[in-house]
Amino acid sequence: MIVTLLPFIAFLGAILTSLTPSKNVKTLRGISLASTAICLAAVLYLFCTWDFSQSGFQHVRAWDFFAQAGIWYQTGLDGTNLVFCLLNGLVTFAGAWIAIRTTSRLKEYLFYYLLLTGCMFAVFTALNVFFLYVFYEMTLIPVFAMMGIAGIRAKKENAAIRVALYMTAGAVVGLFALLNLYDILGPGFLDLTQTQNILASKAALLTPETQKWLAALLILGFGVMTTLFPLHSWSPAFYSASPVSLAMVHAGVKVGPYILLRTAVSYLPEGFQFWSPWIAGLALAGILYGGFAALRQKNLRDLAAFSSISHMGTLFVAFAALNTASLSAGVLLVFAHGLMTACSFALIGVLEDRGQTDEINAFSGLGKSMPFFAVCFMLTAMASSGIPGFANFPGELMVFISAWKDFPWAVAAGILGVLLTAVYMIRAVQALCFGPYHFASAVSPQPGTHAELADITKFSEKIPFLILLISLIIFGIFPAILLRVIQPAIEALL
Amino acid sequence: MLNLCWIILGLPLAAAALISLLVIPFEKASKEKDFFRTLSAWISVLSISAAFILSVILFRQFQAAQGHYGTALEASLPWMNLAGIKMELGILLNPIALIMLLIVNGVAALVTIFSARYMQGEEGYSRYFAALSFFVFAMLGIVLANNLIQIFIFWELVGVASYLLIGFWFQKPSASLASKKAFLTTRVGDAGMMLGILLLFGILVQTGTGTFNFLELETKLHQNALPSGLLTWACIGLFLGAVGKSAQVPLHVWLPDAMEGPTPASALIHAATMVAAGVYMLARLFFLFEMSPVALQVIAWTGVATALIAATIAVVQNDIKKVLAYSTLSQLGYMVMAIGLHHPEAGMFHLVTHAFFKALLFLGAGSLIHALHTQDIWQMSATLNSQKNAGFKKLPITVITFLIGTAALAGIPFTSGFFSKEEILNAASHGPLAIFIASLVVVMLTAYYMGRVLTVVFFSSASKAHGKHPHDIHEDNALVTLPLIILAIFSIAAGYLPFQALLSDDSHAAHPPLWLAILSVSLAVFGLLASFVLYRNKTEDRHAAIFQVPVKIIQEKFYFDHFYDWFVSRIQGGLAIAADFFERKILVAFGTEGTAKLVTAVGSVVRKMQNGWIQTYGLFFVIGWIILISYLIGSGGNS
Repeated sequence: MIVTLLPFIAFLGAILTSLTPSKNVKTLRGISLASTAICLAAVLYLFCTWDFSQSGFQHVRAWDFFAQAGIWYQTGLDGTNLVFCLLNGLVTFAGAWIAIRTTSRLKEYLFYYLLLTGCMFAVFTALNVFFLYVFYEMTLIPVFAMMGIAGIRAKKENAAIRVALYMTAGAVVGLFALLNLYDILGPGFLDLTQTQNILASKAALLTPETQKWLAALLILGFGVMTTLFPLHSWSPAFYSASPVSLAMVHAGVKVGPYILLRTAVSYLPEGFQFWSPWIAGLALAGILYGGFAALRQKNLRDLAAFSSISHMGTLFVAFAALNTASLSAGVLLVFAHGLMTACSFALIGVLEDRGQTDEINAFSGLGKSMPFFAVCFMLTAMASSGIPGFANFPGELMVFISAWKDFPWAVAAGILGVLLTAVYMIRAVQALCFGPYHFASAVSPQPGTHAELADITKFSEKIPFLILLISLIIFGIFPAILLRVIQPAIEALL
Repeated sequence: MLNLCWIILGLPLAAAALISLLVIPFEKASKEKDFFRTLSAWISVLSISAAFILSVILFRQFQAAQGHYGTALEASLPWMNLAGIKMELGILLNPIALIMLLIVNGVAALVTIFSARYMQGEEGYSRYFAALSFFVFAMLGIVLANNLIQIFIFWELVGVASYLLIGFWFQKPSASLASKKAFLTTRVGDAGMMLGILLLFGILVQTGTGTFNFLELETKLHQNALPSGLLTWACIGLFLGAVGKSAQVPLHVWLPDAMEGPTPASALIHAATMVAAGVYMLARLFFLFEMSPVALQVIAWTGVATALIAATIAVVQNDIKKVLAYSTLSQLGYMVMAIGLHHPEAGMFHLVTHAFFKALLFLGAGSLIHALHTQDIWQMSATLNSQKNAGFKKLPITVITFLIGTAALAGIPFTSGFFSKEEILNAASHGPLAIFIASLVVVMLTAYYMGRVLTVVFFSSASKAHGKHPHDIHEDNALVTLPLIILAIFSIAAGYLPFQALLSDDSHAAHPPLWLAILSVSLAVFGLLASFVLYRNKTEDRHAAIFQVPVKIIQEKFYFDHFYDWFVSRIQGGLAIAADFFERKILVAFGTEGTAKLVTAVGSVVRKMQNGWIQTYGLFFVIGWIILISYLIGSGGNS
């Protein structure tokens, strides 16, 4: 029951904010924090009480919606969704601490923030392809709304158009493939708990040729939102215009890989296999392209976006290898990358709060004036560049090892990508935190004379960073906690 | 015994965690900053000293249990286990690990004690001790590791710790650059190491089951013949890791710049941690490298090239720490060369003796720098020699221990360096002639550049009095001098310690022949004398006047840095420009922007609504979709 309620906790929070007068800032903030906290607590409870003796889905509940067509509102979790729910719980709770400090139209913003949180949970808990897709599409409402309310004015229209174009195109292509599958396999296709049974009984209906083309459509369609090269161009524009808490959730909690796992990988294994070399090739290109492009970026948001494109390349290497170890490690990688990316956007937000800019060269020597910020920034950079001790390292390492046999060149590119990450991250760390103190930006040109930028001092301001970084470290030192949840689910899926 | 190992590994980590998570926050909040700073130093000193004492106890237990060359004790905890790929965190205790435990903890303990005084008054005092303890922890992790993944993990952590220490004065631009350079250069090597590990694992998977565990690896290597071509590449990949951390040519460029860190941290980097890691790894995995003669040749030639190039550069340096830095490079080259020539025991022996005398020389240099407020040997000379024999009178302990360290480095008989260098030269004498000759030239050069420093700083009287007045110069307190004295004792005594029996299994190994000793000692004495003759009572460098062109090349350090600068700005920068250009001018301009402009043109009516159009658009967009899908699926279900 908890699983089913999970999205509705956030939806309830959203309704409560809409009922609260916008003057009651404290109440609004309280509702947002409380509802995301309850969601996180529920996920943690599910995680701690996880039954390892069972290999399939747990907590499955179903409600008739349109049974004739196979549309049940069915919820439940296996190891994969559980980890995605945990990621969503952590990131949305951390993001809530930043969302509550939105200055314009707070009430509306929080309403949409909670709506987004709920939709994300709904995507990860729904065990019916119909609802999976519908809730995914629904996330776009709050995304656009939040962009409209608090996006960076100069860039937001352009960014919104780009995202709308890319996402629509991707969704159309993906939907086309899903409808075809529905046509071929019948209503039973929608039930994600029955994937293996459906395939066992109706495998003959899926000819290799069909598998091949449907897999291609799904990979392209849902690759867009996972920034598969060369379909990534929406992301730098989008993340440089979106409000910080939206960027945290959107860039941090990646839906694309989850949908790919649930659809292309599980329903069309042979078709997916056919495209593996192509995926590996695009992954290789994406890793290097994102990495080298990141070297040229002068703004932190662009840097984070291109860095993310590069790292998603490593994820696609895991997809290409298509074995239990690589996909499990891929899920771990998405988890780690999500926490890390959310943390870096939150940190960028801190700088923008204080200096109204995210230009790298506007800041220098923050290690002295903003020690807490500098430490967090350095830790995030380390996590990103694959230093052991953070969850990104075991994820990448396992992807490399498990994909080496099939795609050594893509793995070699991945290793080069890690090296490039170290180069651009360390450059950013040096520029921002090292050297003598200095702040001067094109936006607010007040060089030198004014007071130093203030550090993160209040505990409430520190909370998001503590949550994200501590989680990264815990799962970096004990990755087995996650892997032993993920692995059985991936085994069942392959 | 293995429980002791876990404790030894855990102590410095606990110290680092305690200082950074508890002491530093309290220090920030409190007014009694000095109390918390002293507390940090105590935590660090006590934990590392305790680790050293436990290492000694461990050594005694090992001896009592009749441990010998082949003994290997193992314990491990699982880390990750995914679809048959097993990773663990473990301990493998064998004689070379045991010796390294003693060296690392011993030298680190002395360096920490020295630092407690040396770093006084620094704002980041506590931070320094946290980083230092973490550094020791990371190094101990390498020493004890029982598998390749673990060694790689700690390899990276050593890199992080060195980054923190070299960049300790992070507000100084040069320190900031140096720490970046060290981190990135060694990471290039690490990438090679990762590839090597993957290659090796891949080969093992092909011939049965893969493993990262050293002992299992050794058994497997003896059972199956592995494809030698791939194995060679795997070995070279792993060796690249050592090239990075042990600063071999061509990845040596970070080490001299690493002098930007506090001097005691340099002492630690150069003696017991970091640079020792590469040599240690080569010795620890010698059973693997042994399988590939080609890889061993690569190792030997890389080593000798490093030894020769670095010794040559050391000759023209005017900064005392830089001379020592290049000397470290050169000596590391010796060790690597010996391993490449099938004599890992000689390399390890030299690593041990070098740890003592190089730590001694660095701490001695630190003491000189503190007393004289300069790192430049000519300025040191000017200050120290304005009065006759001021060095010996004012800084007796520093000067005498520095002389002992120099003697050991130059390989003067009866010092520890003499014995280990003889082992190395003996190994070289059985190798290719070019290597042997080059290693003899290095003996001469080593004596020459150290003699040059000594002559200029201590044995000149030509300079005029300026700078600090001699009577201000004085020896620091016991926290500084005691480590110097202890290290000086070991710089001599390490040659007589019972390590060799543990480092190699053939007890009947031939001792270096007498002719070799005579040859090398005469070369060393010649080098010392030459420097004395050339630099006695001189106030400036003379090399440039004598040989112009070669000196220019050497002063530019054989243009390695120029090459890297060119590579980074042209090749790496060029690729970055290309990627960025492609993104902006092609993907965005034609792909998104083009379509977006079209859409905007069509939707210009909608645009007039401006505020809030994005939401409206999103809402319609999604609702439309939901209706469409419901309809399609609904009709599909009915059919």
